[in-house]
Amino acid sequence: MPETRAITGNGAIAEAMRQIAPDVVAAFPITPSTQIIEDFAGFVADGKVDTELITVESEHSAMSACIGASAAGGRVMTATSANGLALMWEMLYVAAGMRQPILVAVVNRALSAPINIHCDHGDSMGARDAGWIQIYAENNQQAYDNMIMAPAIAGHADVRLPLMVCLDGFIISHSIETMQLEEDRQVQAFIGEHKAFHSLLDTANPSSWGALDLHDYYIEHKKAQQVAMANAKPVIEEVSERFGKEFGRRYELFESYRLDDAERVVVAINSVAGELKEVIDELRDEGEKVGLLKIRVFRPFPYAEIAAALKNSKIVTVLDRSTSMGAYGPLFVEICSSLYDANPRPMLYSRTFGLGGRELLLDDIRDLFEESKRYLNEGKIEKTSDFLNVRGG
Amino acid sequence: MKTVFARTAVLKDCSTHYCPGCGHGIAHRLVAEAIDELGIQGRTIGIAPVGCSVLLYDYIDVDCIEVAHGRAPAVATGMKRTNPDKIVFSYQGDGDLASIGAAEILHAGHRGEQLTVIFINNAVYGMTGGQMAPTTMLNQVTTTSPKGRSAVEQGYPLQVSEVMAVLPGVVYVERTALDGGAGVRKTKKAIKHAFELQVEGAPGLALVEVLSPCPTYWRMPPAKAMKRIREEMSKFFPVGRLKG
Amino acid sequence: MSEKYGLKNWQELALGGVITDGGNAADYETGTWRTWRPLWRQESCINCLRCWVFCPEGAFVLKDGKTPAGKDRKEIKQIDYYYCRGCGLCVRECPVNKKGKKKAIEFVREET
Repeated sequence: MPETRAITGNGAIAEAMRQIAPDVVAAFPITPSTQIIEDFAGFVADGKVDTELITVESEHSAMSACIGASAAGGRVMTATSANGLALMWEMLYVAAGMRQPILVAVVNRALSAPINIHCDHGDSMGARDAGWIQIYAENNQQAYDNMIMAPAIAGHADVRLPLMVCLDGFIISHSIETMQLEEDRQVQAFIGEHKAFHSLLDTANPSSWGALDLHDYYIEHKKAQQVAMANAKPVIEEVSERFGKEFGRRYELFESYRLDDAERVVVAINSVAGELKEVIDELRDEGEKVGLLKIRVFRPFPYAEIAAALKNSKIVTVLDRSTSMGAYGPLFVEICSSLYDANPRPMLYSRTFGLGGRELLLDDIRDLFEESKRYLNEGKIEKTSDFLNVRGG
Repeated sequence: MKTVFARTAVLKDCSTHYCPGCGHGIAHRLVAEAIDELGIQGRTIGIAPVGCSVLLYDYIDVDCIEVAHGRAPAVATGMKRTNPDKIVFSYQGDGDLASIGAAEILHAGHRGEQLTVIFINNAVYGMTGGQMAPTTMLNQVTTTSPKGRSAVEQGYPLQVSEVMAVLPGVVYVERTALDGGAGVRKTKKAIKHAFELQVEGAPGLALVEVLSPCPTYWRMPPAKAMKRIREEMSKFFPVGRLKG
Repeated sequence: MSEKYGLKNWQELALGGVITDGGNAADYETGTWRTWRPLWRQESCINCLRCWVFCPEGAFVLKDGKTPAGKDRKEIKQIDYYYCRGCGLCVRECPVNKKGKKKAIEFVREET
């Protein structure tokens, strides 16, 4: 029987990990993802899961150990945040290049400096080029569901890429939500067996991993990786549909909230969507034609599908909870790319918010929609890119 | 009335965020007193770690820099090499020094950097909530060793002082314990000596490993925590001067 | 396979660049690295096999033979120049060479 439980985001991820029952978890603690590993350590100690848990000396070693375990044919997972993910940086590229379906729960937190432990998407956005599938979650239930779907996506024969499930630090990781945890057997049946390929432990069929690749072959390997990423899109849709049939909750590449006839749209990622939906409902009651496109899959980026979803909108505000210093926000750049060929094309502008955990209040969102109304009426974007809620403007 | 004991001016007049009974409170005071007594406040640079003592710069009144987790000795190297007349010290915990920063402290010692390193060993990762550290003792229960540390599964506690003492570039290693009045006084002497060596221009690294109580994650009252250092910790981490 | 270059197309590559043929170092013609070449002089060779022991490439090929007394033994057949890198260890370790009177392995410049 599925269980309804009041549990934190981290707790839910730990439960998902227990159900996935990886062969190896190699981890190093970092706020706010630490509790995932602590809970999991408890499961291991209580014999609730049979995983080799290795508490390594740093996140770089964590990802290295995961890569080794995956090459040896194991199903492998870990969890981290911010600087922990940053420390893994070179190994993220290695895992993706070696086509290893490693799963990581990234609890989104701001990167140092200055040191900040709160919610910000700088960490996963910083890793967007590494070749990992990136799936985001608005709330605890979605984080858990995404994690359950992850092994089937990452390990699919046409994909074989590592995957990060991203959830907001503190906001989702630490807040308690009443949600549904599915039954162990049902989850395990859904996930299926882990299919290793060229396992190093299969000595009857020797293999070498991570070999040198010179200018005569490197780009061909990267092309193969890019194709795998493209393959991931239909695989994600297929797995999500199967999940919907099995567990009743339906997911797509992104969520369209009151988007069909929306004139003024906001595009956003993760928990801020909750606030946005609340304000959108209020504004709709007041007769405003507003809507939300909430990103779920950031890599591979669903350009065509998003362009189709936004084609009837008149003005789009893209909210980024991270910056690309010296450039427009990462999500804004992707949305603009999606709509480049659209004719007619909505007005587009970028707002960066929430860095280091700075809250966006419901009133701020109302102001945001007011501003987009003004821009629409005037037919002019006054400021293409700006920060929200910064003292001093 | 005669002043017999006063707060050193190098320790800022504010309350700290440390848990009741935490060794950091004592160690900070000893470091501040050493800096005060040697008259080097004006030319000392402190390096704050990532850990419970991440806010060291709010408590010890010297110029400070906060660095990434474990990288203090590397940053210290850069600072000391460019400012040899400054007194550069790092103050680090188990995660920072013995775990993620293991390479940095080893190589600072190996290169013989003229630094003072205060290593606070409380056998857990404190700031992140009490996980097992390399220095966690056998059978010690932590959040990532809920059944107690097993040598076979998780290795033996790491004896940093012994490892560092082997390096020719390390000129002074002493392990002390904050387990009572005598221990505190010995720690003060060791810390002061470690700073003195840098002032004198000793050709290498000076390390003081301070066994420190963590009542919160050892799940015991402060007095019992100090007793644990005396009776249990000192068995895994023998107190004494290992070098210099 | 690219007709023009004789190299595989991206679709033909193993996943993640994994190399699945074990022992494929044997395909590597390390002999092209040589700038000096050892020449084995059978008439002076005592078949002690030290050259074969020390050769890092395994470039000495052995054959079956007999001792003067008639017992079975392994003997040097030839040097496999496909692999020989010309490091000269065989020249240095040969005990006949060390005696100095004559050479069982000569070391000469590779012809360009």
